[in-house]
Amino acid sequence: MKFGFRHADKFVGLFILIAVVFISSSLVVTSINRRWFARDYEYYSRFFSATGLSVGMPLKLRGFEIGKIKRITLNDQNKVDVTFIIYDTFINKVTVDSVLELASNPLGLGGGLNFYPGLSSDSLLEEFSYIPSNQSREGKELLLSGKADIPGGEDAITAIMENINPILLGVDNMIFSMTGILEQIESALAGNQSGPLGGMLVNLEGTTAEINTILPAVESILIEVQKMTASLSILMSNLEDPTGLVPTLLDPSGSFDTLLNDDNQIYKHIDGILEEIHTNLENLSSMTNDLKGITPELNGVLDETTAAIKEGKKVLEGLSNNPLLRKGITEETSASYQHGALRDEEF
Amino acid sequence: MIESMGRWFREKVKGSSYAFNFFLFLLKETIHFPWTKKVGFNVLIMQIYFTGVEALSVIALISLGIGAVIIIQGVALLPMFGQSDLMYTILILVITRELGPMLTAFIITARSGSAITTELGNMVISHEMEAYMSVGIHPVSYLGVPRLYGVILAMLFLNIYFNLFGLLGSYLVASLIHDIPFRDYLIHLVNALTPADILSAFLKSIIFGFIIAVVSIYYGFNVSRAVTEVPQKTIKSIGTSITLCIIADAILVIVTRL
Repeated sequence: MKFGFRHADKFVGLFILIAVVFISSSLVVTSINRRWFARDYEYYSRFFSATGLSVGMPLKLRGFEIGKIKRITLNDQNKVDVTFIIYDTFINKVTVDSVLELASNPLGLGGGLNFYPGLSSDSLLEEFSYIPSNQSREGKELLLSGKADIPGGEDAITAIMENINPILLGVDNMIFSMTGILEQIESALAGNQSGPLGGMLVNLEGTTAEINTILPAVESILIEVQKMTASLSILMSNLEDPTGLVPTLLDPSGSFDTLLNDDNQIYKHIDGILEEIHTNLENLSSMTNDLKGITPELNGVLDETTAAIKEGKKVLEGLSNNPLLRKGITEETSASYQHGALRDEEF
Repeated sequence: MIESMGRWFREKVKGSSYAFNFFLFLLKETIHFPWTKKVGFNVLIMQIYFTGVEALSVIALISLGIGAVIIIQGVALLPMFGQSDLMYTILILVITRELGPMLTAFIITARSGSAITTELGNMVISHEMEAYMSVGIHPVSYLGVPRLYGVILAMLFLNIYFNLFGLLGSYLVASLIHDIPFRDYLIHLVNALTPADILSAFLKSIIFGFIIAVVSIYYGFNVSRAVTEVPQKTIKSIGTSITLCIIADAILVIVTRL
């Protein structure tokens, strides 16, 4: 009789035994892995929105999964109650002042629910207790007060996430600055003088008014100067004429004689002209002094304008450097037709 | 022509009726089998031995090869997409859920299903059935039911072995080519394995085993009088078993994935 047939019972027994042991151990390992027989502790928290939350979502402490979300419900105050469990192996981490943080990834790489244990107390929170989230007022206070154990950067994504927050903060600040500048401009344009830009504009307005008052005087001076220039032009043309002014002047019975014996009429006339020139020069001098007085204000206006332009430049630079707002330029793929024209194709 | 069509239809109805009644009778005897006086216990042990133990080497070889191929391909390909962990899910999906039960069913159909049909057919031709009946033993109860149990149990255990060799044994083959830490491999494998995978494999094994056994036994008893019928019925038995197994697998996949 064949050896196998004689010991068929033993072979079959061994065959079944090994299979049963393997499948039993697989079931045991799977059940341990799935925490079928482990004790879980239940807690709850509150969020403003269920966006980013899901049932079964892991709760992580420094990258370790310490629990998961069990239930999400919308309560009567239209807030989201989140019931979650903490594994028994991590229950000693659930201390007073613990906080939950829903980390949503702006890069679209998912998010997570982080657990930050309280630092100030060693006393454990009882099961079914409330653990505030970072969206609640008490949660924010705990995070700001440093009572919760918030870790530094861990992995690459976390580091990116942590770098994004300051950038977002910078963007917020820039937007806030821009809003302030726009409000000031708006306020100044509305006539309010509370802000520095308003003051600048008011000073500029005053300067413009003063310039406006000076301008008529300058205009009158310019008219006089123009008259003088015309007289001088006539004089010069007469001087150039050989039959004109000079021979007449040089004639013994001519103009010089008349000039010297005219009871100072010409002299008086010239004196009057000089007086007018003097008056004009005084006006010019006063105008120059006025302009000199305005110069510091103009300088101030220009400095403040330069500062505002620099601030605006920083804002624009910040916006252009911001990876969230900068979407880049879509690459264009040029699909060139291989043939010059349809007629060039060889069939 | 009309007469021949009528005869064909009548024979089809008669055949279907016989098959249905045979199936019901086999089912009834199968349910009663654990409470009988274990007259067919030795037949059951021998059936498990033939179907299970003797097919172990073939199953081990095939599962080792498939498992190793999946691991090697996975290690080479999936890291390119940053999806290395997906290898374990694929391994579980292919070996535990799909190929394990299906390949085991094909092997059992080819080895044991055909053997059962041939053996029972030859016993019918040599009038052994009448001999059993003459001493008060129903041949379906004594020959058919232990074979049904034997095939189902052997199918179940062979599928477990397929997983054992496919999931763990194949690591040894793959580790000759790629350096994979066994601890990491095991942890990832356990994380990827779910109770639903185990349940699915169990369910498929039982259903496929039942299909193969019932079809093989039916075609074995369906042999009438000529020796030439035996290979014909064996071929039919194999074809029907494989077809029904594939249909059942499709239905199970659709039902479990819905």
